[in-house]
Amino acid sequence: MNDEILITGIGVVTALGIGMESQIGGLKSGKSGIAPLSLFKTSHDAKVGEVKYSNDEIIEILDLPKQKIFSRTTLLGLLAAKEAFDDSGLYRLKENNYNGLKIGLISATSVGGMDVSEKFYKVYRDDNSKGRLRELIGHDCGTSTQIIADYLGITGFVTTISTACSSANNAIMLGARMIKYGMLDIAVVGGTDALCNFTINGFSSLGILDKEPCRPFDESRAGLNLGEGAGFLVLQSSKTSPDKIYGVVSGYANANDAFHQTASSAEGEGAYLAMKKAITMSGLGNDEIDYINVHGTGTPNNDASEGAALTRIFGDNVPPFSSTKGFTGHTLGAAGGVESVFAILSLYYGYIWPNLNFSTPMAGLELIPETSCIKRETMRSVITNSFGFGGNCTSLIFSSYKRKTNVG
Amino acid sequence: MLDKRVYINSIAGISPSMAAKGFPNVGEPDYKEYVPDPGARRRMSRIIRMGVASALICLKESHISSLEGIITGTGWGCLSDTEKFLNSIFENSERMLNPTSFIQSTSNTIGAQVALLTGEKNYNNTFVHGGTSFEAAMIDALLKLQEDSCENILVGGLDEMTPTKSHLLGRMGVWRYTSPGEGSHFFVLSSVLEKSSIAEIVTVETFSRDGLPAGYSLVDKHIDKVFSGVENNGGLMTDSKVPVVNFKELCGEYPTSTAFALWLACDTFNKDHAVNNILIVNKHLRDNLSLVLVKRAVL
Repeated sequence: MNDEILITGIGVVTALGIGMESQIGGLKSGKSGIAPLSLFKTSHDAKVGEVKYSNDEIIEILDLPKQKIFSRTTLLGLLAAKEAFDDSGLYRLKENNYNGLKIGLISATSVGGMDVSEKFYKVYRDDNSKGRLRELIGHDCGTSTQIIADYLGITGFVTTISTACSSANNAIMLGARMIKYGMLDIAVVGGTDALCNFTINGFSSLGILDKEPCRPFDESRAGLNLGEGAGFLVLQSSKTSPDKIYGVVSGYANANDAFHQTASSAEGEGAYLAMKKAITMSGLGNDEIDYINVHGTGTPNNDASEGAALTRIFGDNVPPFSSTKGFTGHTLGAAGGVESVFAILSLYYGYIWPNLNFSTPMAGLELIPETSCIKRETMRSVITNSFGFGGNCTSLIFSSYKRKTNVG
Repeated sequence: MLDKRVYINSIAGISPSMAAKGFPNVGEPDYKEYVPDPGARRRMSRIIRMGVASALICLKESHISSLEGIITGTGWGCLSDTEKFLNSIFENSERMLNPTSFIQSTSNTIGAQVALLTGEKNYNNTFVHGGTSFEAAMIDALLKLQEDSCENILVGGLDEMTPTKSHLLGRMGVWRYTSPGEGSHFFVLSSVLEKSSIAEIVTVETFSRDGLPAGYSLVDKHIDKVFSGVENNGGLMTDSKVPVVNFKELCGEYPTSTAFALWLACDTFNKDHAVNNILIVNKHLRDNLSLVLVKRAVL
């Protein structure tokens, strides 16, 4: 068994930009990436976290064949997975067929190729002999993952997880577990989701889209802003010799709220169990957690439920926490990937990221998130939470790596 | 590689395609028995009803006292709810939409519904990787069962065929060489060998779309029977004496048909005492190839 799961590469794309430098810049400055929707036409007055590059621009950046149809979910995933892959130096191992190491890719998505499918379906429903079949090839969630695997040259274990908004956290957890039990030596893990009409209308039908910028953990919060993006990590077993080490995966747990298909329980049972079990697995004391990147969507229900769970675990000593969804919007299946990257950047560079648009604590829960960017000399461990429809709750813990890294 | 052996201690399945061919007790049950609330039953699409019923039957017949996880695999996900919501967007010009079909369009709906109906708060995961979704769910379960506190996990593979899916695959030319299928099969995977254990899982492996890697050999594996869902079996088996059954003649073509083949393997162990080792080889359309090797469980 490999008990040390090293984090050796990160890649991310959100409304704050492409790449981790853009994220650090945006998070430090406190400037939100949320703006009115411009990617496609909808009758909804929605503010969203769009990645400010068109599909054609991303195809150009990635040097992909121009005649092929790629879903935006695939393109965003490719950007982030490639950055993580390059960041970890895996491209050098790839030249040597990974020195015989077992490498896999576990991605996550909730919408898959829906952005393309909904265009197809508009034509198809009027005349079922019409519609370009090539547009359907990317509909299945697994297709985006398979394209990323092909692009990176990963031929080992490849799979896709879809547990709504907790999807990417589950992908990271599976990668860690596969390394732990020796099924993989290296795992590229994360998630990707693009904005599409389907989800804008879906969340609108649930009445949980805020027309204003979202206000996580604030008494006046009135819903979420959707976002898009991707976040990937490279995890390696301690038997490999990585270029650099951002930290280690020290705890993970998945639990189900088993309360309602979309709503969370008032006492935050699923969130409580996920955090509690992850902390128990890590062997850490509550006082060793220096930052929590909360799920904090800005919906009345999620934040009250997650707040209740935080209070149940930490009592009056809740560690510094923030929701970064005021910067990126809720990136759904990618959220766990994006926010794991934010949590690891916090751990590695010593920043506690601000929670935008907060002024008044929620009634009955005197929880105050960090509202400005704080620099810390040392960070020991951080938690990131992602919860989704169907009661799916997953918490991950990343801890700093003590030993000196092997260079080269 | 994994320390703890994993057994199949309970099975249940619904295979409308097999039922249509006249096989008894494999079709859709009376759902009233499993989802008594008529409102809830009406809201559920067919894949949810099939999934929830087969999961609950599997749990009921397992007689287990604790369940530590629910893991599902689905290649196509909740197609009819997805299409229903898409249609409502166009029909109602994005206004006053009913959220039910949107809520039920996410692929984790079945795993979530089973958790809700059983009050099960433990591990819950869903895989959506085309033709190897169920295989990934099994691998996740094998890993989870290595943990000390984990004895039983419910694992299922399911897909629904809808008129639109069938029509589109027809336009792509798929039905020229195979026929439409669907089904839902659930298993209690356990780290505990019981008198009632049906099978032991020896290996679950997934490969690339190109098939088995060079040099991969099945010769050393003792196999009594092959259940194949691969169009052309050539190159997979070197020993031609092993009988090969094309299981898709029974269940039809769909991404998680490996779950059907695993159910069929367990059913074979129950009925035919001369068969002790079964290899399942499968490939859905152009997706990845998979191998599952199971043997009869003996206490």
